[in-house]
Amino acid sequence: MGFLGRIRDEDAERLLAGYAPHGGSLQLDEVASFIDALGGAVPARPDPRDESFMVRQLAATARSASAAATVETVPMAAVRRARRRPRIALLAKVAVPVALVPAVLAGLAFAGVRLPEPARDALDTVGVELPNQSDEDSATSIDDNGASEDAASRSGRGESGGDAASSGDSEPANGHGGRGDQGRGREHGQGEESVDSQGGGDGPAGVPPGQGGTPPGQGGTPPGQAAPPPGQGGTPPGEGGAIPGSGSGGQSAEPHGGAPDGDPAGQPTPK
Amino acid sequence: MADRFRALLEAAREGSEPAWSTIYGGYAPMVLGYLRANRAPEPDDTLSEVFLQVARDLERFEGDERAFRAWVFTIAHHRMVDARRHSARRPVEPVPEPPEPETVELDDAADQALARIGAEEVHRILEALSPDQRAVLLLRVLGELTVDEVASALGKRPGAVKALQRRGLVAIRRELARQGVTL
Repeated sequence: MGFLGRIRDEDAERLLAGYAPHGGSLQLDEVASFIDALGGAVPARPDPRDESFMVRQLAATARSASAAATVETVPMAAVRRARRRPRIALLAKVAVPVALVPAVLAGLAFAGVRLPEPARDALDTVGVELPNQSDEDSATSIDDNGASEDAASRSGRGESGGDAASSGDSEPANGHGGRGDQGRGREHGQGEESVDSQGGGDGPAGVPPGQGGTPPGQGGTPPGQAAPPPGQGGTPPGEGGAIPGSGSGGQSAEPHGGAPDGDPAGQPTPK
Repeated sequence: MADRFRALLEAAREGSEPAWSTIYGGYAPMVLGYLRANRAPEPDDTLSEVFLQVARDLERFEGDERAFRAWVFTIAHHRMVDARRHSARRPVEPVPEPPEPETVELDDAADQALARIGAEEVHRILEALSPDQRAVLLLRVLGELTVDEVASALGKRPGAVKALQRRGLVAIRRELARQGVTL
């Protein structure tokens, strides 16, 4: 090995350990001595005045780091739960209203409310059949609601006579609410006025008193048959329905009856 | 021995001042020497940062005494690089070097070698090395790190570290011959 020649890796390892390589040159012995001296010359003792302060700082730092590590270890599960909580809350915020919508719609349907077409379609799509939603039912139910209100109000005013035959039966199946008080302008039991201001009165003669209306259980327009056209379905005033003054028996509150049952006795139609 | 060191680290983790006094007293001179020999800016401040990081991160350290030594020197090297960057961004007025510190206790071989060559001569020869060569040799000698540990600390490949230490030793030999130092 020349003076400035290369040093093999194994020689370097021996030199760094402070030993001269086997069969090395004198110069390598000197290098080995230098490495020994290096270990003694380079280390430097810090200022002793700083040492005690530094030791206190290090101890305090280690204590706080250890405490922080302990604190961090314990609440990690809580942290994860806290991270999960917003997701659950968000899910609940979405899921609860979504679940409430069909429930509310079903409740309305049970209460007899006719739901909008899109809502019914949506529920039909998912296989939920709502009650009280058929076309006939809906039409008559609205009529009946209107008629019921009218009957109630008229009974309070003593106007129930003559309405029985005319209120629900002559109603076209067009779903107009509030038609139950079509005969409001009439005098009690007098057939002078048209039952239906929209054309009633020139229709076929009504059912005689005591025979008016549809027998119980057969009320309403038969399925597939529309209600009589306007102007033809009405019973002449005073000729149909209950006996004037006999109460609102003819003006049945039957929700699905379609035409008033025309109970001769003026009693409410049995359901 | 290993159990004693493990107990020392455990006590240091719990904040025992005697434990930290032992650790600081045992490693600070080597680390400070490493920083000064590498011309780290403000080596005493950097030394404090090194040990504060050791205290902060000791909870996560696992290993024996040798691994601890390598870990401490790795932190020292990284803090030194940071200090150099910081110093390069914000140049400061040079301050006079502190008085030469009192020497630490040495083993016999080092003591005899240092008796033959003065500390100043050692530092002068170290100055002749490139920064990478100096860092590698000091980590190998002072830190007693292996080639792989040095490579990890410096972010280099082991082959590069071997090449650096070979060239560093050649440079030392050349400087010794040039200056006529007889050891």
